[in-house]
Amino acid sequence: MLKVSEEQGQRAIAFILRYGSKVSTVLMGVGVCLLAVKGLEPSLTAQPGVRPGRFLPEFLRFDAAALTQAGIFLLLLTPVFAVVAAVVSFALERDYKYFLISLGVLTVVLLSIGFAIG
Amino acid sequence: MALAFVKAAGLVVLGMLAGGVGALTGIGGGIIITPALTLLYNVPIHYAIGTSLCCVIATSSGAAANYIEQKLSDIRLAMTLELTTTVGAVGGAVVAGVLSRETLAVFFSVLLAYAGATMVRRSLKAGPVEDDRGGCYKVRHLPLGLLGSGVAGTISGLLGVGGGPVKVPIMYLVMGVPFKVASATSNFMIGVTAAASAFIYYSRGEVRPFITAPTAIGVVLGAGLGTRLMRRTPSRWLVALFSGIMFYLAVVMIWKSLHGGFAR
Repeated sequence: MLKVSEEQGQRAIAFILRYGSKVSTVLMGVGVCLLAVKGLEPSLTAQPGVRPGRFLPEFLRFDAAALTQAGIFLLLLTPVFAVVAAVVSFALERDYKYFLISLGVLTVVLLSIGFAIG
Repeated sequence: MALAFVKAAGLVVLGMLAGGVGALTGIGGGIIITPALTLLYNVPIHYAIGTSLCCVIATSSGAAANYIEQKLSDIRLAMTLELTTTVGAVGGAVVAGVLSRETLAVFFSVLLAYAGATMVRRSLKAGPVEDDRGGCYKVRHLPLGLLGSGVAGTISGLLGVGGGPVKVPIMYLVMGVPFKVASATSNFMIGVTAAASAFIYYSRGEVRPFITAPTAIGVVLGAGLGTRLMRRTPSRWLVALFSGIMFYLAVVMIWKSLHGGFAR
C-alpha cells in the first residue's frame, strides 16, 4: 500500500483549498461579466432557474446563470474536498486515529448535504 | 450603467472591505457582510447569512492554503474540534430556518458586541502578542475545547459567521494553543464549519447568486490586499477602528429589530 508523508498530505489539502477557491472565483466572475455584456438586469435577490437536468448543457453554452451557480457550488464543495483529502492522507499515513476523526467530520458534512438535498 | 450592476459593483466593494478588514483583524469577513447587507442593501437577513457563509468559505480557503504550507495550521487539532463544530453548525442552520429574523438579528448584535469588547480588551493590553510559529505545545482541556467548538459551530450555523471569534479564544485561552497556531487553525476550520451549514441555506434558496457572486469575488480580492497591508499597519489602530464599527452595527441592528425595520 502507498504510504505518504505528513507534508505530502498537507500539501494536497493546501492545493485543493487554493485552486478550489481560485477556480470558483473565476467561474463566478465570468458569470457576472457575461450578465453585464448581455445587458441583463436581474434583481439582486433573483433566483435564476437552472434546472438540474439542463445544468451541464447550459454550463457548456456559457450561460451566465449556470456559470455563476457552478462557481458558488464549487466554492461550497472546496472545504468538503479538503476534508476528503485529509481522510485519504491520514489513511495513507496510517494514522488511523485521525483517519477515523476526519472520517467522522466528513460524515457529518455529507449528512448535512444529504439533509439539504432531501 | 444599469442600477443592478451599480449595486453589484457596490457588493464587490463591500466584499473587498469585508475581506480586507477580515484578513487584517483575523476574525473573517462574515461578521461585516451580514449586517452590511441587511442595513445597506435591505437584503432579508436569511439571504445575507447565506451569502456570508459563502464568503467565509472564500476567505478561509485562500488563507488556510497559505497557513497550511507555512505549517501554522494544526490539521489534527482542527479535525478533532470540527467533530463537534460541524454538528453544532448543522443544528444552528436547521434552527435558523424557524427563527424570526428579528431574533436572529438580536443574536447577531450580541455576538458583535462580544467580539468588539474582546478586541478592545486585547488592544488595550500592553505588549505585542507573542510571535510564535507553532513549536512545541501541549493541548489542554480537550473536552472543554470540544464543547466550546460545538457552541462556535451553532453560532456559525445560526448567524452565518465562521465562529472564529469564539474558536480562537477557546484554543488560545482555554486549550493552551499558541495564538498564531490558534488563528491559523481556526482559519482552516471556519471554511469546513461554514460548508456544513451553507448547503442547508443553499437548498432553501437562501444563497442568492447575484448577491453572493459579486460579494465573494470582492472578498477574495480584499483578503489578498488585506494580507499584504497587514505587514505595514499597526494592528492596534485596526482593532480600535474595527471594534468601533462592530459596536455601531450592533446598536443599529438591535434598534432595527426592535422597530421591525428588517426587509421581508
